[in-house]
Amino acid sequence: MSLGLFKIFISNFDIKLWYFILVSAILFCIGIFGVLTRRNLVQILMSVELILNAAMINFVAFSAYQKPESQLGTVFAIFIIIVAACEVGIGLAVILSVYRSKSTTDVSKINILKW
Amino acid sequence: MLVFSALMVVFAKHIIHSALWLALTLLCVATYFILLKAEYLAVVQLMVYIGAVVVLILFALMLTRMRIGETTNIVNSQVWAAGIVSVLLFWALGIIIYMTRKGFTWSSSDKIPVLSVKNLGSLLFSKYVLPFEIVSLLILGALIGSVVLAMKEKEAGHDQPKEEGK
Repeated sequence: MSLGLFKIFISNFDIKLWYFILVSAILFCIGIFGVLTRRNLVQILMSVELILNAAMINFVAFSAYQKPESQLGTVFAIFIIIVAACEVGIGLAVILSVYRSKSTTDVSKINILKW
Repeated sequence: MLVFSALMVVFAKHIIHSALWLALTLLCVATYFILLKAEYLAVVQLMVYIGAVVVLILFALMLTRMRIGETTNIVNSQVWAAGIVSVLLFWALGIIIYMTRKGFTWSSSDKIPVLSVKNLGSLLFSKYVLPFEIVSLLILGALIGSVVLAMKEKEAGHDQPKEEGK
């Protein structure tokens, strides 16, 4: 499968849309892997940033290739950036307050909801 | 390049290194936006993400007193299950992309027009003005919420730089 993709890629040189989609899929999967495996809360937040960036590449790529004059993808990506910035701010505030009460940011040690 | 640096975000031993690799990844995403003829978005990505988010993450690492040399036990015990899950997910996405690649050839990358920031701004303030206002309310809520959450009894914690710039 990947060989077929590679042949398609080198046969026509200009950048196709699926190239962006593939990169976005790779980035998304790396982000999912990071969310699932990291121990530190801050690193989980960084992996969420990767996932949001993958979504943003998708939006902009589809918009630019299908209906570029509407600029809908750019508008949507701006909103995604704003929401991601808010999310990082809130997330880091939550991490700080958790760190103050538990003195750790390790998610496997934060088990106050468990009984 | 993007894939390598994104992998390094996940697999870096030190958390500080991971944050710096995150900055490189976001820079690569900004170059993708330039490839897609969305220059304004690339600039916003540079300012907001690399300028604010990465710095904020580094601040949080500093405030939570990460040891610089701390490398032990950075992943939890689910690493194999998570790897299988993400590889399966990528396999499924790759199958879908491969099956629908015919539909992806709407146009070539040369045909993407370069549109001005002026156009984008007028669009943002005419057609999409309601989401714009709602998002500004969201930013206000996030600002107040993060200050309240990070506040201590005697002194306020590190205040959250809210980046707007739109």
